[in-house]
Amino acid sequence: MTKPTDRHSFILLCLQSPQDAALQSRLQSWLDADEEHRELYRQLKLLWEQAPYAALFEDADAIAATARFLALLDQTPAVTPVLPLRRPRRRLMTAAAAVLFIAAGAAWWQYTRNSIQWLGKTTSSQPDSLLLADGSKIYLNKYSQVRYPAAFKGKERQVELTAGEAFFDIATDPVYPFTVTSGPAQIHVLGTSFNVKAGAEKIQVYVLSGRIALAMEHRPQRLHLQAGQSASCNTTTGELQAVAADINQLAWRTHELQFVDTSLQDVCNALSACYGVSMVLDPKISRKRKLNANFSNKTLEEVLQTLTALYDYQFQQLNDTIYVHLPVK
Amino acid sequence: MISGLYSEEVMQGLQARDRAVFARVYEHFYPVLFATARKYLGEREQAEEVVQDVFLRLWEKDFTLEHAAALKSYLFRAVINQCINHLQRNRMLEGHHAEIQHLQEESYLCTFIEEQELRERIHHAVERLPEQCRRIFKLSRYGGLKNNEIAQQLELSVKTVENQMTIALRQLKAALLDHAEKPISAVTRLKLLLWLASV
Repeated sequence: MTKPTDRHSFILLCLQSPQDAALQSRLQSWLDADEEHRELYRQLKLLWEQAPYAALFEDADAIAATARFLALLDQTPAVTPVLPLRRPRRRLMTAAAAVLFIAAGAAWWQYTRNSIQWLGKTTSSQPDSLLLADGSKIYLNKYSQVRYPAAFKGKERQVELTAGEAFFDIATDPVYPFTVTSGPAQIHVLGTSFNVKAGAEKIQVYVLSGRIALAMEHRPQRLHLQAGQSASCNTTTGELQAVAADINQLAWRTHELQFVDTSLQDVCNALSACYGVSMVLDPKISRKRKLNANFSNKTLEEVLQTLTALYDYQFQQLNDTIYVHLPVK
Repeated sequence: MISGLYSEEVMQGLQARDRAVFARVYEHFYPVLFATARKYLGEREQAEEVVQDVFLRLWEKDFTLEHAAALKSYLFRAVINQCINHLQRNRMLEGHHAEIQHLQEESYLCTFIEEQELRERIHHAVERLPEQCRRIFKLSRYGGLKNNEIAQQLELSVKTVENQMTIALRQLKAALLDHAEKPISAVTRLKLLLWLASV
């Protein structure tokens, strides 16, 4: 019991076994021996007893909470005291106040613009999700990247999908419109959930619930989409087009695949999008053969086994590539 | 503790409803106030609402404090009162109620605030422990598991768990009581010692 490490573990043992009478009496005589012992015991006992309450701080995220509080504040009109001005100087004062007001406004605008702390999240071979300060959720597919502010400031909430694909579930807040940008495409939201897939030539948007307005940078055209609708933006021409919604658009997140009279070509495209694999088809195989099947929460392996049984083709996986060929006779 | 929060400027900023000052004060006090509300109300959402309400009322009405240093106890008292209102509305446990009512007396409030602040510092120190050490300590003190249960769950030997617990306790003591990063003010240290002596 001389080295401090032993002291610590001895005290720990005593704290953990209050019923052990023999141990407690050993502790008592050790405490009676020296003031220093008593001091150490008091300190460790204090930490030991207070520690369980530290758990209450586990999810006290002050920064996110402050952002939520500021959002509330902005909906609360503050009663600002009006100071009476003396008559003769009133005009001058008003002019001065206006100048000041404009200067302060400009400074504030500059400040908020420059003071936003942007964070990024990038996924590699695993999808991931993140929670924004306003309670909105973003689910990132593999190999995707978003940039988002640490806290939403000013009058709008803005995030950017810089690569890949993400599903957005946006918290409703009519006071603060939410904008997702992806390259030249801008998606204006009031509170809804939708999927964005950013490719090099086109950006695909699919709305699951609510409504969004889609626009391209520097262009007046706006496309309104409702739940279940889909659109595609051409990144080179800036063209916006409503397209037929693909029921399997969210499969990468939900792992629900539905095929209704779907051609083999489209089945392969859906698999490739959902599981992030490339498909290589034997040229001798017809791309047109139709499939009817539903897969719910199945692994890629299970899906391929079923497909091998349904089509009389072999679906073989090698790393991230699926080879489809005629069975070897 | 940010000493800058108990200044005249902060008081004036709050009275003038300066958004940036509100944000600073809110961010600073949120963890302790949230933890306090959570202790009595349990639910996270409710606890956060209580803190929001207290600050929204600050924002909406003209309030004056005798001096800047009273800000902390004012906020704690407001949060505790809000919790009492909540409990009364929901007619929750009597025992809980008595315990919290107790806190409205000044002397208890002081001790309580200091306890909360110590807990916050413990929380930060726990978060800084090495990963395995932290997991073991949390399972023991937050989760209430015994050493052998922790050993089973993490597939470690009981000896390892004991050692890691010792390391955790020693590090917490070093971080909080020996040479704290945020030096405790002389007054707090004195109070802490007095309080330790009374434990």
